[in-house]
Amino acid sequence: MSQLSRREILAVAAAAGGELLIGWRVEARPRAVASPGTSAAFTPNQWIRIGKDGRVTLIVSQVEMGQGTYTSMPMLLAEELEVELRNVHLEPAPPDEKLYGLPGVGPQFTGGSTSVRLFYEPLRRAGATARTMLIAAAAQAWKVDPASCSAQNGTVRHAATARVLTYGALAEKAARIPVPAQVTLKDPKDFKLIGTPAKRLDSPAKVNGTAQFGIDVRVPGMKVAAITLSPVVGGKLSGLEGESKAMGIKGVRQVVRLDDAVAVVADHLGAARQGMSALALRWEDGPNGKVSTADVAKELAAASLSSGVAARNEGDAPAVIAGASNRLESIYEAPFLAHAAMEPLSCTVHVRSDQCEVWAGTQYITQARAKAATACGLPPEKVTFHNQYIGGAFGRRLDSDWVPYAVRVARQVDGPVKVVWTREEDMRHDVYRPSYYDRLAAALDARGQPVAWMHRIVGVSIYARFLPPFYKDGIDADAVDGAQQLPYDIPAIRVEYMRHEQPVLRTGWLRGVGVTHNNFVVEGFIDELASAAKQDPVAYRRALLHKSPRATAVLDLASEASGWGKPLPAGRARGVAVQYSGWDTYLAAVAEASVSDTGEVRVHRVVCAVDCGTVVNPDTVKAQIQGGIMFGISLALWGEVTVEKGRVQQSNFHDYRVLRINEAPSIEVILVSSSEAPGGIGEPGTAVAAPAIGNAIFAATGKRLRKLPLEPQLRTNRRET
Amino acid sequence: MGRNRGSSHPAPSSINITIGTPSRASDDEGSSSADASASVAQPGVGFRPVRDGPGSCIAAAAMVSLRVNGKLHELDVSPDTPLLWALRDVLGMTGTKFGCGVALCGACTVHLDGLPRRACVLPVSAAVGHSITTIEGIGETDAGKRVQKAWLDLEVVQCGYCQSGQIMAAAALLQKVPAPTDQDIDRGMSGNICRCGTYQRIREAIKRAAKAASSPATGGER
Repeated sequence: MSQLSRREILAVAAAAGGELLIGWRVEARPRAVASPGTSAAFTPNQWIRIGKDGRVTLIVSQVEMGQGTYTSMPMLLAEELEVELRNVHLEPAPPDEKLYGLPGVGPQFTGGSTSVRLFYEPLRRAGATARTMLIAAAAQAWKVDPASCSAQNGTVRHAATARVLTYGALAEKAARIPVPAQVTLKDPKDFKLIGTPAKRLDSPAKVNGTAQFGIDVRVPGMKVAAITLSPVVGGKLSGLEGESKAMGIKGVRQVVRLDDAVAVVADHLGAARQGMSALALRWEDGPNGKVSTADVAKELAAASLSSGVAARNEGDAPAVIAGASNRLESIYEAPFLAHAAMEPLSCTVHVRSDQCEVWAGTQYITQARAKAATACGLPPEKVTFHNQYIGGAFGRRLDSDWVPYAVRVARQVDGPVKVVWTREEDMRHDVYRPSYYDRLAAALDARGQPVAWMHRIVGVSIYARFLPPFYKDGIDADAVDGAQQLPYDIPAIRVEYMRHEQPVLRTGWLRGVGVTHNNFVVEGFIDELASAAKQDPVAYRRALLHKSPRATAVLDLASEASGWGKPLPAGRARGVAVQYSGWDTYLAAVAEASVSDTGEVRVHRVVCAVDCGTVVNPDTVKAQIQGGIMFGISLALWGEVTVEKGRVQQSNFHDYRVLRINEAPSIEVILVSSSEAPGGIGEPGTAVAAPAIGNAIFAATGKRLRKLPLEPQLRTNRRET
Repeated sequence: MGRNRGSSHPAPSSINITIGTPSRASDDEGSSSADASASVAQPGVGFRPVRDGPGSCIAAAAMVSLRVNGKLHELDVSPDTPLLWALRDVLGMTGTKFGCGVALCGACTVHLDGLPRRACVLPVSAAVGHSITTIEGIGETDAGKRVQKAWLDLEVVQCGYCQSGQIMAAAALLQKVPAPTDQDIDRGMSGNICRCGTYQRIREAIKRAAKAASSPATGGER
């Protein structure tokens, strides 16, 4: 961890939000842990197992939550191993950071748009190593030069003598070959899989109802439980009435009290929920019972008046701005956000005297296991953790705060129990994307060109809690991501971070992470500068991007495909946004939007050009950008979590609105063909939505919105309350 | 106040207002095909809990008898148990998903006599005597089979959690409106949330599935 390269730091700086990139035959019910030894004749490294029957298994570190990693990871392996993608079987890796942690980073998590970036070479190398050893085994058997043999479709061939041996037949012999120190990776021009739109391997089980998500786990003898947590962070249960009434409900088996939660255990969740409704719970709120999000906003604003720590400092931006005759200053604000993934939290646990078994979908299996171990008072190795398909996590399941609740309930239950959060409990006990407060200032010269740029970011440091090495010298790599890398050529740039913790809500990663907030701020403000300079937003940006040909290229592609500058139906306008961040992906998006008389925003069309370097599965890249933008539209227009007296006010999809099909724009994705190193793709689309839409709203209405979410500020029929 | 009454469900009135939330579907009123019936044209309406179903008077002690995907099951649950939990927790048919519990998201969509219903708010008593179809059985129907194939052809799925409900809603739509317009799709599908944002591909896949029925030469297999 201590010897990270800059590139690795950037890679993880992006860490964590929703997804990674791209994406076999995946079993409908992925098995929990690797079971070494099952007909394993050949295990050249931790990721590959080849049986005597020729069955190839990839023990995959990363978890599938929609991003397509159960297809992209095997593609990397199959490409070098020379096997057909559909013949690779997948097995979720057990918790073991030494073997299955993120290469070069350490922790065993899936997030931050890191999987393809960090596994691109290691998994190819793993496949190439196995291929080299299988060829060596065949050459030895035939007593020929390995160089005269080739691997093809799960076999080794000796062309000169037309001899063929299958990997299965070679497996035992290959296992006795010393693992080579160096292997040759394929030349990209010889790729058969990488760069092709491979079909997702998890799809078939997901269209016929057989795919097993965490919430679908069923264990013999299992009961199910509903849970209610203290409505205030840090609150305690102070009273419970109605237990006999609850116990009288058919199917209800047990009421479990924890110091900060109550669970009702039953034969099915219908009864459990009914039992919960029969209870009257009283809570001792503690100090957080008095606070609200308005207090947090005030504190952030106050903190923004002091200087922060410089994450980037070129020239003397403060001095230039102080002395400039033409300067602009703006304040941007971003709210707390909930994940609202389709699959509510759930966790199945069986606690026995000397061991504990857990079934749940987690993005961070080692952390989840450690927390389960602490909660049941056993060493981690006594906890078996069966990871599952996740029904959309978007960063929520990088934190495992929910796992110990299920373990604590299970400690009081005889036999296995599945604890299921209702939508309301899920939304009110999320780990929220933090709110931020940003101050910006710029100086323009006589031609309207920026000569100085200052950006102060105030907010929580997630890394300080989650992965301390990435909170260093007062700078949180995520909080400044997408702001620090400002791609515009401005002589003086200062980007500062001011850490400000708040107690109201627990905060963490959400798809798009720090970049989501910064991209809105940076691209909103540059749009303000273009407007102040009375210049076209695309032309203005383009002139400042001359040092970044990849950024220029995506801007040109998106603006051209969108018909930038061409007439639109009355009321519609276009807005543009460019993005570059620690994900090492270049994005430009043009959104077409209109605002109705009552202030409803409609996003009609989005064109997004993407340069994410080498592409593994282009169809998945497109799907991630499409879906990422849809996710970003919900957040941009409506996403906001508020707290009154310590209680989250939102509870379900009626008051935490998300995009529906009748509101969804068409999204065109243009992929740049590139041989650069792979960049992240799960999250960039989410982050680029708000700035493109915000700038389109400005173009349509003349209103510059510097606060998220956008639509409430435009609604004209909202005054009555 | 420091007091909270157990798990907190929104009041029923707010549920009815927001069911399906086709907030802009009204923009499209008046232009839809005449044959779009209530359950398709107004996604919310068809999904209210049925409170007076034929089985609602069953005595609490009696077994509840449900026909699911053609097969009869006897369940020992109280008649007001939502069908969702009878399917998932009692019958072990976990393809039908829990998303919101209050008919806002469509993840639990099943068919009752071919019409889409939200199993999370449908008491089992209301399903007695009706034919229930779930994602596990929809592939046995012509429309369902075409929808599943189109879903795979166009790679609709991401996390996949909502897709059971999406497929059930799409199959019901096609049974009602064999060649749906964009507006029909908006109305038939706006009650089904997908947080991965697969909407664009869902729309394309429904059109593809519709076309598959109308290509006689291939018998609907293309």
